[in-house]
Amino acid sequence: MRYWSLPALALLTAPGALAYPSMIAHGYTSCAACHVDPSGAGQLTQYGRGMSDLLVRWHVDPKEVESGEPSPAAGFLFGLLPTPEWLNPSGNLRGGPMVVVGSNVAVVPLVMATDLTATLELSPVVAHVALGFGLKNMGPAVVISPDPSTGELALVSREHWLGLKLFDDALVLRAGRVPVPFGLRNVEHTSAVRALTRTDVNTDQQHGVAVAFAGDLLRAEVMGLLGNYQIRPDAVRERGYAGFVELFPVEHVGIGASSLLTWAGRDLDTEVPLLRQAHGVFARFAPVEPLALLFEGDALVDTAFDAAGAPTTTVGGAAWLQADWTIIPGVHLLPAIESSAHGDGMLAGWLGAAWYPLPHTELRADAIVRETFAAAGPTSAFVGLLQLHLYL
Amino acid sequence: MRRTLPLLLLCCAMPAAATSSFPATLRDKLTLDRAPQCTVCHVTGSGGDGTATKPFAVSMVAAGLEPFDEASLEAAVAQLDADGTDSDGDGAGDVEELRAGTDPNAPPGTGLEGEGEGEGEPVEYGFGCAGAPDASVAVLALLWLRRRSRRCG
Repeated sequence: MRYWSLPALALLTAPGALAYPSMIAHGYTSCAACHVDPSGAGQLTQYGRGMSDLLVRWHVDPKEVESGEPSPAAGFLFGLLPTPEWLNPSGNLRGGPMVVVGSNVAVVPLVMATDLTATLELSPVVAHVALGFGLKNMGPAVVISPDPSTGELALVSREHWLGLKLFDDALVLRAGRVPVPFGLRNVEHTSAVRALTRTDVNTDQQHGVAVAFAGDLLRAEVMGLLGNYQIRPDAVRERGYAGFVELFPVEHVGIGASSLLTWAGRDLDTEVPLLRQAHGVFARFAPVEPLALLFEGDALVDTAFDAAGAPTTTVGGAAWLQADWTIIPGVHLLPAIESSAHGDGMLAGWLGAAWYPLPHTELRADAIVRETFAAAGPTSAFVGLLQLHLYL
Repeated sequence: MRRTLPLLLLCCAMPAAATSSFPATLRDKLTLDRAPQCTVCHVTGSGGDGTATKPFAVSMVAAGLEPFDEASLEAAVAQLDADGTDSDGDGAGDVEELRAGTDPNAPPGTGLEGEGEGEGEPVEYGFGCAGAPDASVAVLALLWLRRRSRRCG
């Protein structure tokens, strides 16, 4: 029962709540308490399950949360299958229709994730693996692909790592395929700050060694990138480092900086030798409890080398500003604006809404208007997306 | 049968078969040895909305290509083939370049066309036979540690 005591205490001071980086609105700066990954996102810990049920889920009767006891349905598979303390199985199932206005094909059904995950915790050793089927653009995460050229209908593993927790879990050493530590770990993996820095948690994990630290006033992670060993040939693998540090000078405020540098003999996107750098700042701020503001701005510096070894450097950038407003506990409104200059310029507006009607269940709707400024002229796109997300 | 498990897992609509299938559609339509990379159209390796801005993509859109519409893809590539469209102006038509395995977006010698290490080697996804970390080793190690911790406890 000790898992549930902290969420219960939190409830006394935080009647509304939400997950993700905006959790800072409720005084939660560390991600490691709720997530298996010390830098956040993905599978929840046992404690995180309780917090999710008490603080994130929508409750028909708000008195349900006053007891401070999570629902039995907060457990794995809605509590239907008890699990030992050392084994934490879970899942990440996400899908729904996408609407592209102006397209001949009005509604596109998408299966975005079908991962089953498991974490073994044999203190101080922890091991984590995620396995599922990749159905769309999962190339870098593919383990076994019946069609290597497209990566469709393939077995994928976004993460698999072995870790060591030290100093009362304040320090976590990991080796394996790990999310790249950089910036806000926001779930909108197509946002420019995630896509252009190649640091999203959808497919951009890399093999390497990472050290994460979580304290009251500071959290940080740095990773040596050894390359993504799920793509071949070796020349396309990026090697270098990535890391961030985030400080908490006062309550409800986090200010961070990130840095990334990689080298690939043959860049996966441009096909040429590329030294890729991204350096940026990010901030999380909750002026009032139901509202969290999230910002990230990154400079993107690419140095490409031609056949003679002559370098050409291009400088660009990407920025993201999002508000996460808890209208009532369990219901969120998520407007955001973003822009980027990396090759073509882009400006986009997002309006998202999320509802957590049941344990481990999220219904999310997004409307995205994106203007791209290409050499051939500006183009506009409007995309609507409805997602059902079960995180078991 | 390949789609059975994902369908069971999600109990929802058909798997996505739209834009993500464009490379395979091009392969089949043009009888290529292998499907082109997403980067033949997109500026990012994983594709995505607003990123299909390369010259070949612009030509395809001008020829009627619509996102997620395979019929429009087939019609557009047929149009480019018939017109001999040469998006990068190197004298070789786009479809001819796809068949030859070269990049229709950049003429040779510009430093933009596959001059990195491993040029010519197709990018493949998934673990190769060599050097792949073996998860089963990690699991066995953990089981051993578990047994040890029980003995010590």
